[in-house]
Amino acid sequence: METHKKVLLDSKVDLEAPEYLSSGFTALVFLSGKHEVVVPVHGRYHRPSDSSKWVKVDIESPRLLLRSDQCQTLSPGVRHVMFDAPCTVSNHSICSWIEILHLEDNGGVSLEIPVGDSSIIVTVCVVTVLTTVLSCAYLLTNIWKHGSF
Amino acid sequence: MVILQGQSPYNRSTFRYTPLLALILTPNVLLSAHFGKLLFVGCDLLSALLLFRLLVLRGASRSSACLCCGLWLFNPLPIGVSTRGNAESLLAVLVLSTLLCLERRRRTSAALLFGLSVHTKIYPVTYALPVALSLAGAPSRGRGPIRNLFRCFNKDLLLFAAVSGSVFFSLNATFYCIYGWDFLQESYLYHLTRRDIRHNFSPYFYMLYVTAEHRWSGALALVCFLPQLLLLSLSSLAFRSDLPFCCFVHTAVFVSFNKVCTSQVRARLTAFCRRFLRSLLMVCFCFSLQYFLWYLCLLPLVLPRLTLSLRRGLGLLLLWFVGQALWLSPAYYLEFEGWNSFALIWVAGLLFLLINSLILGQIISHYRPAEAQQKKTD
Repeated sequence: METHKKVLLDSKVDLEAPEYLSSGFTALVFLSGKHEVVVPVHGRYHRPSDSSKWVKVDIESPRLLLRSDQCQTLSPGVRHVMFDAPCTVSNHSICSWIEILHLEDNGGVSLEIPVGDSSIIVTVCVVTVLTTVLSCAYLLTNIWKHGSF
Repeated sequence: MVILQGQSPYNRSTFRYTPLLALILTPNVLLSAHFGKLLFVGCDLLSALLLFRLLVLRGASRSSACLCCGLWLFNPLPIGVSTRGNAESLLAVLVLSTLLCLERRRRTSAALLFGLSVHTKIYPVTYALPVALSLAGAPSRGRGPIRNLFRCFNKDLLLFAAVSGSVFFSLNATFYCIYGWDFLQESYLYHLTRRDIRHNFSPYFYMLYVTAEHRWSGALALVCFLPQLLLLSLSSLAFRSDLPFCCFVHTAVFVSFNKVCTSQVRARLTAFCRRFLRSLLMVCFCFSLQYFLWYLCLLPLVLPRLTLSLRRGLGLLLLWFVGQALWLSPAYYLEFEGWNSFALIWVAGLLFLLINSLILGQIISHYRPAEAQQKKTD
């Protein structure tokens, strides 16, 4: 977020928190002169599920905002509303923006995020603990045999 | 940059180090953007020099010392990590110089450096036990337990504890006064209480992920801690006479059995890696092999006294890389392609633990301490 200069987030984001401990946020992508932007998305960890291997996450369609002071001619048929938002990515001041409504919408984007399998929870715990105990026992034996006490 | 503006470095979301590091890196803004990387590469070179001095001090011939240092100097992993701008080599310098000072019996300097290294990153605090045991007096059979206890806490140990403790606490107090609770939280408490359930090399990863909201997760966290505790205590006692070897075993155990073995900078790297996906090297760094640097800097000290045959040594090394590859492949597909390869990552993580334990066990059983070597040559 801080590295890609043209994106402003509306709240502090904890990069490592799982989905159930984080809330949604809005990203403002500032375009100047460009007409197309690719936004990379990285999914958070979701709760493990015992029924499905994936969970579907919907990302809302983006909304288009135009700076009202730089937008002199707007054809009368275009539906729009006024909107207050930061003027630039450095968030020093608030400007008035025009949001263009009813854009051609291809339904938004949805992601399929893989989740863990909670139906095998007991197996996972038992096997993990057994393996750790086995490795620990092997190392303890070695240390006991070759250490000087 | 943030420090130069007089603000706290913790305003940046993933800064989880000591403010000293941010201070040292201010020339990055003042002089050149590459200052930090040059500094860390310089630390790498300094580590190699310290390794050489330590090896010669412990009785290795100059040629074998050079060879062992070459393993650190020309190893792509430390080179890659430092040129990426990661501060692990700074910590390697601090740890190695502490060991060098201890070998040379310069205990006050060692204590100073030890306090500084624990302040920089919390993990060297595990070396406190072997250092304390090596400095403590040996209990004698004739006396009672209370007298023996007093004998153990001798002048050297108390001096060491006092100097390193005061360095650590004074640095912490200073930064707490400047930056407040943020500093303690990000530098230390975060690392101690982190419950990162995302995929990493730790064998406990999947278990902690699926039990994250369960009522037994607290008890399980304790179970995870026990093997580490047992191994660290016993190895400190067993190898206290050979401090570099003891520290190596400590760090290897710590990294292998840790609850989390990952990087704090993954998120930024992920965006970067998306563009350079095809390079396996980038993937490796993404899953942060920097944890392995912690014991890699001590490996050259252990090598001269290892009696492993070259074939066996290379075989173990190959096994380690196979273990890495078996973990990295499903992890890559999970992170970048969105496949559900959790079960494979889990199994690979357990296998990696077994491989690491085998290698460490082989190193321990084929290590000849100095006295045994001298007897051989006499």
